[in-house]
Amino acid sequence: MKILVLIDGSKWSHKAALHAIELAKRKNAEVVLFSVLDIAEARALAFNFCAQSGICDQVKDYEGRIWGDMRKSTQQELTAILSRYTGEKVRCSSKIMEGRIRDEVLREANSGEYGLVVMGAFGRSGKTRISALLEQIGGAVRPPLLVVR
Amino acid sequence: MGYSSSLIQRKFKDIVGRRYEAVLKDYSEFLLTDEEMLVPEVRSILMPLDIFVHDITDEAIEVLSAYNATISLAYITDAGVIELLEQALNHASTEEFRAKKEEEGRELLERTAAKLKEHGFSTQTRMFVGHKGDDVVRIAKNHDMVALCRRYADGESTDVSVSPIVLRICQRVETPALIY
Repeated sequence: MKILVLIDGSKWSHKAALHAIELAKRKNAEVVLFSVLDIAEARALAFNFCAQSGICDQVKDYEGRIWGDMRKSTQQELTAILSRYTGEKVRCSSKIMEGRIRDEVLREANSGEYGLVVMGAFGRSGKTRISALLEQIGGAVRPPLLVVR
Repeated sequence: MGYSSSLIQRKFKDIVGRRYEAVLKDYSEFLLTDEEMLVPEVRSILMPLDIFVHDITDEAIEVLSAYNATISLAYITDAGVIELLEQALNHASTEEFRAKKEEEGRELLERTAAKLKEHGFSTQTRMFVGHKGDDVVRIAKNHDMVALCRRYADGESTDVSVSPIVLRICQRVETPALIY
């Protein structure tokens, strides 16, 4: 079995990775940590920051810097999670895609490779409301979906 | 050093390191405590069933087999529907409807329990009239996981989506939820 874990920067997704590793040990499964970088997020952050700071002429520059930071930070996050589980004797790898989050997650999850998708119940907005991604993909992901909290 | 504290130390370095307790309290909705980072043992799994759940997929059984757990099957007939029928029709018609639903429920419970037993699971069954969301959240407190069919408490027409009741249950239960 191959398990896809959706990592979005939230601690809930880190806990999802922990669940997936425990399951993988029992099922002799392989774990893939999966993140999606969405340029729209960098654009929105740059635009809102520059608009509020009165530096609209620098918006392109900020977008590039934020996008670079997002890539670096996501790579670091996945590396940190992978290194945390190196001693666990579980085959574990990572994958980063660029595009719309819902589309990329569904493309990967429904590729036919995975027997389970694991995600956190909450996203980066904290535990005030359920992950928006769960609402978007819950009905469209073909493998069983384990929601961790 | 625990996971949360090492995370805060790494991200906020020395500044927050000195104010660890205050940050943990103020931003608790974004952070997990060391206790929350533990994966709990799954010994019992609640699996609600209703008229919209026709089967448990083999993929779901494969995942559930990772846990050495007892599966509690619960067939729930919507109390709201029974109440509506009581108001709109007479008591005898409502009882007839209820008996028919119970018969369907018994059949589904037996079929599902038999399939799970074939795969080596121990099962328990129960059937009652209640609220398909609130009662599952209430009963889930006595279990370590909830396994929900995407169609549970939904209808036949929304086959491209997950039932809103399933999402509400996921929001409110305190255990992991498997959606299949």
